[in-house]
Amino acid sequence: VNAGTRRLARIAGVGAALAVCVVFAWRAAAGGRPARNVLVVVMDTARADRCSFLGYGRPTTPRLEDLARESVVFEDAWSPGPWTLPSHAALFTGQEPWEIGMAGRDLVPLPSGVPSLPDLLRAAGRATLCVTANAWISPSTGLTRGFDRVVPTYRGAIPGTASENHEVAYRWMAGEHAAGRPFFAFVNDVEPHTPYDPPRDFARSFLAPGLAPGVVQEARLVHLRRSLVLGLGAAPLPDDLRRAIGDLYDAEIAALDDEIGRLVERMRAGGFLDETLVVIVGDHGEGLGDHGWIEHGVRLDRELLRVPLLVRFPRARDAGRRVREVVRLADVLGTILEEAGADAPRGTGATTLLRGLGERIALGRERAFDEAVENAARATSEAAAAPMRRVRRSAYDGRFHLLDEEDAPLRLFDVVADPGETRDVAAEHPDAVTRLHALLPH
Amino acid sequence: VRRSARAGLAVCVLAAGAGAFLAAADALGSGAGRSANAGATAAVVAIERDGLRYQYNTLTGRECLYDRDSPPEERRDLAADRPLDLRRLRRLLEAELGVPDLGVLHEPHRETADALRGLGYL
Repeated sequence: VNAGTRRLARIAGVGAALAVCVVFAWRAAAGGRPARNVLVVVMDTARADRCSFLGYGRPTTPRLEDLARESVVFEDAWSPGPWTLPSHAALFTGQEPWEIGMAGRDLVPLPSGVPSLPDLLRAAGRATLCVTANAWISPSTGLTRGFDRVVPTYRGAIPGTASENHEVAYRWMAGEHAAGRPFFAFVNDVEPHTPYDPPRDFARSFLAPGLAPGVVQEARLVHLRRSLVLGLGAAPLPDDLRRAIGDLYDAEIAALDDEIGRLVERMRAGGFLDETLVVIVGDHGEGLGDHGWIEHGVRLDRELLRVPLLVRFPRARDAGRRVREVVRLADVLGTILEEAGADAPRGTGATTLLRGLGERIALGRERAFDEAVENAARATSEAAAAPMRRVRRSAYDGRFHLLDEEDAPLRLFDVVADPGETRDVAAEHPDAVTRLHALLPH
Repeated sequence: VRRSARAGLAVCVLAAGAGAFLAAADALGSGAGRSANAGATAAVVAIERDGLRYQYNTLTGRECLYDRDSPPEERRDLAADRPLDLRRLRRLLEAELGVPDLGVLHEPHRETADALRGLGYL
């Protein structure tokens, strides 16, 4: 018995030693030491296809183009939902929002039993900070749980600015760095979100000459006056208003890009950029008249779900790499935890952005919350608001995007051939419809 | 989810957090915002009686009245059409929750709601 016990102990000891070696070897292969710090900046409401570092023709993101050269760019990153709450739920928990009850018609906060990114990084020894210009990231929604410090920069109905956000974040990060404390900073910037009111210099650079001042003013105030109507497609969107909205939106992206660039350069000058994992990510996109309506929150078209995503790994590892395969916001958590040397909770964080590429299906599910439906019905009509009551689901495999809307025929788009999703090809590709339909979330 | 039931009465608290909202002067010295590190999460509280469902959203402060048995996609807010039922069920819910006015549940979230209105929500 003693000999058997000793043999078992020896085997167990060798096994444990091997496991440690494998972990270290894997860590070494993955780039060495864990990231000391983590910074996540959310470009709220930023569409991937309006960012020049992802190929947009207008120079909206020159600073991110520079940063992309020392980062890994994910060219086909998708959100699971068309608004802030479900998308941040995925980002913070590594789970799809419908798996934790956050994609339904009731406004459900982050469930208390679900571990989230700040919880996990704090448990891994990071000081944690949340700076938010968006009130969906607040104690009311549970998304600030786990942060040591939460700094909302919105005041009443006035959203905070990236300039304010980044000043707070930089000063805190520099202080933690100086004190020798590893940190996790989260920042949510809302420049691309309505109101479309960019700084004057940026507006001047992007507004088309010849747009009437009244039209530009209407675009700036569209969220107050007509967004519920235009957002439902319940009234025609005039071409000049659509152009003004798009130009102001581009200017907002550019203004945010400038602030992100400044923040990164300050971190570089402060001597802690290279030991920080930097994630720049959008949470969802925006309708800009592509399909006849504006804003976000209800539909699951590509312009609402495809988001910018760029990761600068510590010491600029894998600099310049471009990943074309589909990735999801839910994959970000596992990537951060792995890089930070933090434990992933069982059942979550199993996927990372760089593993299993080519195998991913991006899923979406949404039903507008009751209050939004009632508001829309009051502002327009019951008939116009009726589509908001429907459940929408989507599945995307890198080429085909299947859209399933309750009580409507399935639609399929080949986004490689038709990135604007203008032509339904469901009848031409029944196999793709069947395959993706089987994967739709319930 | 917490459910309690009496004869013909059910209260559903879909999500509720514990703890008080704490707001402190900005400790970062930036002057760029306030600092809050804890707070109650919002909830949809509801009561069902006589085939009706009254619900109050503590985040938005808005109340709705529904036909309980209508399918979700056909659920319509009856608050404007049935003010007496609205008031009756509101009082029942207030009694069940032990609050003098449901508005006290909205108070911790008023600032959040105002900010969300600024972004075009609610």
